[in-house]
Amino acid sequence: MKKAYYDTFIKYLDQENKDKSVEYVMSLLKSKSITLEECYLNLLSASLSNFVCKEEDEDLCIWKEHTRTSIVRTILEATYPYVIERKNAVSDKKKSVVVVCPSEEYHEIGAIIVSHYFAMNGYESLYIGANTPKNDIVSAVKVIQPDILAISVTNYYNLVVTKKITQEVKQQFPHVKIVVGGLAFHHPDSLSQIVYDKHLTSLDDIAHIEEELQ
Amino acid sequence: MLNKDVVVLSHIDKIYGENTKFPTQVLYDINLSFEDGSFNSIIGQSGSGKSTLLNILGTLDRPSNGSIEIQGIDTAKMKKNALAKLRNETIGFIFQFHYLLPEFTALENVLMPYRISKKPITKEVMDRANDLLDLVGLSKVKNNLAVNMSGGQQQRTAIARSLMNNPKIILADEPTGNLDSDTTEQIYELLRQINKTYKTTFIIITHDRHIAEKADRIIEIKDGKINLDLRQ
Ligand code: B12
Ligand SMILES: Nc1ncnc2c1ncn2[C@@H]1O[C@H](COP(=O)(O)OP(=O)(O)O)[C@@H](O)[C@H]1O
Ligand SMILES: [Mg+2]
Repeated sequence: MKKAYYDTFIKYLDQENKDKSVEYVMSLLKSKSITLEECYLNLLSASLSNFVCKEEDEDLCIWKEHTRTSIVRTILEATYPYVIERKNAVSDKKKSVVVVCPSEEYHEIGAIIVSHYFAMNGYESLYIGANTPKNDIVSAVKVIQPDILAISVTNYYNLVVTKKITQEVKQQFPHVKIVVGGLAFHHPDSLSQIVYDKHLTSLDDIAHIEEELQ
Repeated sequence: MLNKDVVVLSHIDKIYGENTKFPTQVLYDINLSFEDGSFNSIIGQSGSGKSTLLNILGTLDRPSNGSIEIQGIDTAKMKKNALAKLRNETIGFIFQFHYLLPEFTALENVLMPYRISKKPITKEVMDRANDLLDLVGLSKVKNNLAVNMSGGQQQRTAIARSLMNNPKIILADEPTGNLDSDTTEQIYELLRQINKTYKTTFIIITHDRHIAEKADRIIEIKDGKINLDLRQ
C-alpha cells in the first residue's frame, strides 16, 4: 500500500473531518487501490494504534481520541458490503465463529475487525459486542453452538473475568475452540494462566486457523 | 532470588488456630516476589486471604510454614525486636481505616510514630513531616484536628505518616475502601507519584478495578492460593 494513502487519511483524521475521512477510504476501496486487509490494518488499526498525544494539548487528547475512534468505526461498518462480497466468493463454506469482548472491555475495534476477517475467510461470523457479561457469553455459545469462540481483550484487568469465561465455556462446551487475541495478551506469562486453544498475533493466521485447530 | 526483588515469599502456609480443635488453613503454599520499585495490586473475594497475606508480608504476623525475605534478609529466625526494627526501617502501612488520633492535628498525627517510640523530633524530622504534608496536598489544613478533616484528607494524612521513615515498601490494605470515586482517583495518583518519585515499592489490596488496572501487576488470590498473576 502507498504511504501517501495513510498520510492523507491521517491528515483528514487530524482535522476531525469525518466526511472527508470516510469518503477517502471508501473511494480507495472502490477503486481497488487498497485491499480490505490493507484498509483494516494499514489504515484503520494503524490510525488508532499510532495515535499519540502531543504534550501541549493533553487536555484535547481524550475527545480527539474518541472522535477519531468514532470516525474509524463508521468506516469499519461502511466496509461491510465488501466483506459480504469476499465471503460469497469463498467456495468452501467454513465454520461458525462468535466474537466477543468480556465485561468492562470497551475496546471493540479490534474485535469487529476480527469478526470481519473471519467472515472474509468464509466463516459465519457473529460479533456479539463489547462489554459482554460472562453469563451472556456462555448463553450465546449455548444457543449459537459456534465452532469457535473468539475473545478480544485489551485491558489486562479483564483477563481476570476472561479466565472465568474460558474455564466455564471449556467445561460446558469442550468441543468449542477458543481463540484469543488483543493487547492484554502482550505479556507472555498471561497466556499460560488461561484456558484457550489458540492465540493469534497476526490476523493473516485466521485464513489457516481451521487446519491449526484440528 | 534476583537482587531487584525487595520481598520474597516462599512456600507460605497460614493456618489460624493451629493448636486448637478447629484449625483453619487460609493460605496454601504461596510463592511470590516483588520487584524493587514496582506497583502491585492484590485482588480477590473477601475472605480469600488477602489481608492475611499482607500482614505476613509486613511481618505483622508469622506464617505457619515458609519464609519471608525482606531486602535479602531472612526474617524467619529474627527475634521480635530485630524484626520490629527491620519493619520500622523498611515498611510503611496504609489501612482502610487509617487509625488517626482524632484529637490531634494532621501534623501531630504524622509525627505520632516518633512520639510513641519517644524518638526526638529534630528539625529534620519536623521538616520532613511538613514536606510530606505538602506532598500529599495538606499544607493548608495540617494544623486542623483529624476529626475535622474529610475522609480523603484523613487518608492523605495516613499516607504522609506511612512515608515518615522513608520506607522501601508500602503495604496498603484497601486504602480507598471508604472513599468516593473522585477521591479514590486522587489518592491513586498520589500513590503513583510517590512510587515514581521515591521508587517505593507498593503492594496494594484493592476492590477497586480502577486502581488495580493501573498497577504494573495484578495478583488475584482465590481460596488462599494465587489464581492469577498478571503483568501489563
Ligand atoms: C480507541 C481507544 C479507546 C476507545 C475504545 C473505543 C472502542 N469503541 O473500541 C475508548 C475511548 C473507549 C478507550 C477507553 C479506555 N482506554 Co483505550 N485506547 C484506545 C486506543 C487509542 C486504540 C485502541 C484500538 O482500537 N486500536 C486498534 C485495534 C484494531 O487494535 P487492537 O485492539 O490491538 O486489535 C488488533 C490486534 O490486537 C488483534 N486483535 C484484537 N483482538 C483480537 C481477538 C482475536 C481473537 C484475534 C485473533 C486478534 C485480535 O487484531 C486487531 C487488528 O490488528 C489505544 C491506544 C493504542 N496504542 O492501542 C488505547 C488503550 C488501548 N486504552 C487504554 C486505556 C488504559 C483505556 C482506559 C482504561 C482509560 C483511558 N486511559 O483512556 C479506558 C478503558 C475502557 C475499558 N474499560 O475498556 C490503554 C490500555 C493499556 C492496557 N494494556 O491495559 C491503551 C493502550 C492506551 C495507553 N497507552 O494507555 N480507549
Ligand atoms: N485472626 C484470625 N483467626 C481466625 N481466622 C481468621 C483470622 N483472620 C482471618 N481469618 C479468616 O481467614 C480467612 C481470610 O481472611 P482475610 O485474610 O482477612 O481475607 P480478605 O482480606 O481476603 O478478606 C477468612 O476466612 C477469615 O475469616
Ligand atoms: Mg481484608
